Amino acid sequence: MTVKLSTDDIKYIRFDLRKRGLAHPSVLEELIDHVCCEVELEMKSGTSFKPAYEKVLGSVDDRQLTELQSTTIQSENHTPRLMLRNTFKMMFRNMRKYSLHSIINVSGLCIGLCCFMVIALYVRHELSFDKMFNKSPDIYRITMSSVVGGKTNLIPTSFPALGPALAEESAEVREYTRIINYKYSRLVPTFSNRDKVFYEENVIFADCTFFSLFDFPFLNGNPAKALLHPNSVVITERMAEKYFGNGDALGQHLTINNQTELEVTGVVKNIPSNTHLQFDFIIPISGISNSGIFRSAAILESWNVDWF
Amino acid sequence: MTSKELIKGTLRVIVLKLLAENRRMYGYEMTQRVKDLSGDEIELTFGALYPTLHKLEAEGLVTSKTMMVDNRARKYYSLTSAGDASASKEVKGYFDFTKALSLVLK
Repeated sequence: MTVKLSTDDIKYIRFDLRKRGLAHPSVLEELIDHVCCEVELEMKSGTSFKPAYEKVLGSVDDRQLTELQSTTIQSENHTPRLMLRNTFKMMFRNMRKYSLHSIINVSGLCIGLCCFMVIALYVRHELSFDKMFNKSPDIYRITMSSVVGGKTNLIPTSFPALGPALAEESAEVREYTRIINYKYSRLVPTFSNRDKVFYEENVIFADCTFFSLFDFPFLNGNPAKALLHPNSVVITERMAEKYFGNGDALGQHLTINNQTELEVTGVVKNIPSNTHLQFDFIIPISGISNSGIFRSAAILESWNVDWF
Repeated sequence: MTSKELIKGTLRVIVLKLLAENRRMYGYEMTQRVKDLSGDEIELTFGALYPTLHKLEAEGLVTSKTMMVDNRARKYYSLTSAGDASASKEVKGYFDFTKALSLVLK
């Protein structure tokens, strides 16, 4: 005698197996068939459906079923591609299911990462300061401190005579350059090329060794000779464009304070933000007497001014 | 009854051998056949059998085909040509092993 299960019986088995935790379609179908066969065998001896089914599944732990399911899923995910596809599928489904939680999580992660990147960029910028020069490990800035009434003041500048004196007395000082910013005069100079006249904020004076220490890249001109003549000026790319347009700035003339004509002897690339030497114009310190700050170049031997 | 551990190690060979002798079989049929052949000594549980079948399928030694039988889907397994070759090799390997094992356990 052969016993065949009815559609309703099969439906019941399907429902029960699903309730016990089986969801994977092919595992579910396969086990339904397996259980049906066992139940049919049991029913051959005259047992009715329900007791036969209870007997078959009585020895089966729910955990066994889910374990079988997970080993099957694992064996199906045997290639990385399939595994990743399933992983992403699960991710999207979970995100949709718990959308509020996901939004909070993802936006929190975004904000965190953004903060991290902004801080990292900031720190990198700070740490890269004045490191772009070939000689930067050997360059020292001389500053001063003075004690007045028991209080120590740090001063970022020193005396103009200090540079030559140090170079003469100490073999360790190979080169020096003195820099003075026009801003110390509390005046703002004008530069002009014919009808183009502008106030300029970033003007510095420096010794002719300036470009030997700080090798800012030149677009035009010779760095070794650019600051030799008192009435010369080295400008940045930006200023060359401002005063001379697209034409060649080298050899052209700029008039400072409507008084002195300076010859452009060099054009350097725009100054990067990570250096404290921010300038648009460099005038040789030997030409300082024509600049409107000091009347005489004798100031360069002075120990009375501490603007350098 | 043979211990579970021993069945676990030999299940793969059993399945390959069964499929080599019979063109195609489904899971429940295999458990019954093994039970008959072993004189009720070896009883395969579905928890061990199906993962082995799925693993063999993933390895490409076995293919499957699903058919509707008695209002339910039945999955039939059969050997691929690669499975045919490895079936005889693995059965031979198993006999070599038992021979060696019997020398050890004698």
